Parts: sequence; C-alpha cells; structure tokens
Amino acid sequence: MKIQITHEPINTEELTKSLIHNEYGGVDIFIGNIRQFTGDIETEKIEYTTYKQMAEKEMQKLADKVIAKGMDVVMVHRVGELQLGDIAVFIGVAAPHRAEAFENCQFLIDELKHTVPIWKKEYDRDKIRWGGLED
Amino acid sequence: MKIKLFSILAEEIGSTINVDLKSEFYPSDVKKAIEDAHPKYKEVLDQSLVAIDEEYADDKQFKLADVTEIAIIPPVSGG
Repeated sequence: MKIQITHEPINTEELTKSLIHNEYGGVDIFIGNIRQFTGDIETEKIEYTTYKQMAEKEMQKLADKVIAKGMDVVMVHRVGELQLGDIAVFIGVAAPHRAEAFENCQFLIDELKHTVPIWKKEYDRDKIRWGGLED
Repeated sequence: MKIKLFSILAEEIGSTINVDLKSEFYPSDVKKAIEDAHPKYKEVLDQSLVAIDEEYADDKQFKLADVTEIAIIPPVSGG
C-alpha cells in the first residue's frame, strides 16, 4: 500500500511493480495526465496545490475501504506546476480477479476527485480557470 | 483564530486569515466571517466546506478550546 502527495515526477513503472504479488491475479491502473484540449479550450499547463496532511488522510480513508476487501492499493498525486503530458495522478489496485480491480480503481479515482483537497489552477490559452469553480 | 485558505482564496486573500470566533461556534460562522471581510468571495465560500482538525466538519457546534486547526476547502479538483 502506498499513499502519497509528491512534487516529484511519478514513476509509473516502480509503482506498477509494487502492485504485483502472487496472491493477486489482476492489477488495474488509472493514470491521469495533463490534457491539451477540452473542447475548444487549449490548456498550456496546470498548477496543483493541496492541503497535504488532510489530502493524504482522505486518500488513506478511500484506500482503507478497498484494502478491507482484500486488495492492495497505490494512490499517488503530484502537485506543483505540471506541463502537457505530465502525469498528475496514479491509482493502482491489485485484486484476486480483474472485475474487482477495475471496479475499485474507478471507485478510488472518482472519490479522489470528490473528496481529496487538491486544487488545480488551469492556465488556458484564453484565461486562467480554477478547477471546481464555475467560469 | 488563524484560518487556513487554499486555492483561489489563498492566492487572492492570503494563505491564512484571522477570524474572531466565539468560544462555541459553527463552521458556517467561519465562512460568514470571511465573507463579511471579503464579500467578493461569497460565491466561492458558498461552495466551500470547512475542515476542522483536518476532517470535513458538519455544521454542528464546536468548542473553540477543542479545535487546533480550521481550514476552508473550496470545491476540490484533483485528478
């Protein structure tokens, strides 16, 4: 299990390897990266900030729900200034069977987006947008 | 009490703001006090939650003496 907020680039290979165990037959991974276009809006970079202690606690609460069902979990979110293509988030779930791995990986990323105190400031070509707020 | 601010509130108001709270208070009192000082951020504050000691707080009464840290949590947007 690994829960982390980091300023450093996310090492996906190392995190993936950490989820390979003999008792699990499937690993599902979600990687979120900085997208260039959202419809007509062109993004140049995104700056992520966080309330780190609380964010890691909230991530841990989510992970605990999945771990309690007998799975392994990795949740890492990068903060700071990220450029196009940079990886912002890595969520991995190792489970005995693939269905649980898929389902719980989706649960973790969906819930992270709702509850974990991390914020994005999106530098778009036309203006700056704060994630989560109406324009 | 020093209240922690994040996201647009931190950038435009500062990373903390001092708010006078009664010995017994509701989380909504914290938002109201910030709104009174900075009415421009009413919309953001309306959408924000209050965290007390790093936990999302229901709008129930808290004793100031029992509280170490208060933060305003604007709508989150990680991922």
